[in-house]
Amino acid sequence: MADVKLPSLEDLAHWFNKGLCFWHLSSDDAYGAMAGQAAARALLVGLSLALIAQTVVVFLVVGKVDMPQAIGLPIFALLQLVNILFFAVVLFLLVRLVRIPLALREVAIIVAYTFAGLLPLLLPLMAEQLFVAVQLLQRYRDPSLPYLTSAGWQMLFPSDAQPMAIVRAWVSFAAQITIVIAFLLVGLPSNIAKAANIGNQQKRPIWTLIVSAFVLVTITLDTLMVRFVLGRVYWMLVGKLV
Amino acid sequence: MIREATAAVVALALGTPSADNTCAVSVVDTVATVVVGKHKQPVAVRLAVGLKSSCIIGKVTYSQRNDPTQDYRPTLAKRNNELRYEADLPFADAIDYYLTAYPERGQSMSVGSPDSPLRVETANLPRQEGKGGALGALGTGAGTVLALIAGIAGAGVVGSGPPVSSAQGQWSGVGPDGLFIDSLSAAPVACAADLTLDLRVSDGHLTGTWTSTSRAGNCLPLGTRLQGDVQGNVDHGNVIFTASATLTFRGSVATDRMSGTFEGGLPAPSGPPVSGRWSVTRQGKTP
Repeated sequence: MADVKLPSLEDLAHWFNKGLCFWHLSSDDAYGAMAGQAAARALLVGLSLALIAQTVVVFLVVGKVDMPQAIGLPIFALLQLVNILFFAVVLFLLVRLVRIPLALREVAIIVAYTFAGLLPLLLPLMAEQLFVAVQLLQRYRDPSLPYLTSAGWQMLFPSDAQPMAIVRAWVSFAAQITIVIAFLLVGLPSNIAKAANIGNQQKRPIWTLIVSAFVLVTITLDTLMVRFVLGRVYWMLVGKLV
Repeated sequence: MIREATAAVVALALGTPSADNTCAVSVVDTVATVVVGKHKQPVAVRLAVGLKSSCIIGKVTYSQRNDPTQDYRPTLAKRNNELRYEADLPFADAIDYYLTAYPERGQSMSVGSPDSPLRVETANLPRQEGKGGALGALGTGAGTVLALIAGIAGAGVVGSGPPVSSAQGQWSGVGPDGLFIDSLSAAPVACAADLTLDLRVSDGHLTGTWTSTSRAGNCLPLGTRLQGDVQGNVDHGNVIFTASATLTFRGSVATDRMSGTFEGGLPAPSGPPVSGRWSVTRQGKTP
């Protein structure tokens, strides 16, 4: 059985260099016997930091961190891993359509680095949205409803709210879009093109654009999967906690 | 092992109906507005009902009539961005309706019925333009992007939940809110009353006063005022309290809104058994 160790400072530095600073990722990071393990540890660091950041935000807003949260964190991590795996498989199938020479393992590694950098930035920005979402869940209880989306919408277009709250919601929304574009629509396609070594230097931007289109399709399919399968499981479990 | 785990996930995703294959559905809140046309004339009544459900709802229909001699006509409701089931019904001064929720699995459930419909009076409802225009398009676009980001985030993370909204404060139920008596002495009725609550909460214990003033229907002479003390409890956003020791109110509290059902006997001197629904909105700031 593999030796499981807590992330070290070295792992943190690796996450920073390759996950957060995604433009430093090279084709070498996707290949080699240890590449999978390094990506997994970077993802573990990313998920841990996302959860710590989220916990801090919860503590600042609510003033305490209670048992449901402690129970909920592993649920989130497990579902997030399923989500990332689904994302990687769909993207792999799509890039294979245009014969980009990458195996599932390499695509999964690049996707893992991407989400490792993305999640610690994205999730804290969604903390306030989550509070409203859980409030909606407590009111309606049906686990199939898009609580997070509705919460975001109600924060952007409230019927009555302080102007500052609306400004904060729009700034957070703009930051979320920027982060998603930077990591998923710019960084991920560029790193896929680099790893596959497709096209020469002149043609690489075209390939990057093609992969960007595939990523957009993947995001759409992933959203549908989360909306109709993973999200239901998630809200069903959260419903039992709150 | 994998087969059992997969089956458990599928059962969770599809929802688990109760042993008798029924789904408990109740109205949490109702928002009614009059939709006006270009020349400000009323063209429809937009009803949006929030439903609390113990299972996954597949679709909801409103069955509506504007005249007791008419048959009920069903209209398919659309879920809006605030997660309420919304439909535009032909305009009339008063609309009788009931709604039917069809779960993905299990039997359908109705709130109200042809014999005991819910009623909305349109005279004092707020008015709104029919189309959202540029803001509506912006809302749709933002909604789509929010859905994509929620997908990337994998449905969100588990927090400890929002701070449970306090029931403490002044609450008022007028216009589309208030006290709605659906049954009086075991006979179906459609009566409405304004409702105000002044509540204090300490260690989950609820105390305060309530006042109700009859505003529609034949249950009590219009303008009849009932008032008294309130005693009860609040637990994780669910409230239960007795008013004047004769009526029991159950419901849930959100940030600025409380709603639920009630049953019991009207306070003396009338005293007949009643049941129905209630909803109030917070007055002033959230404590």
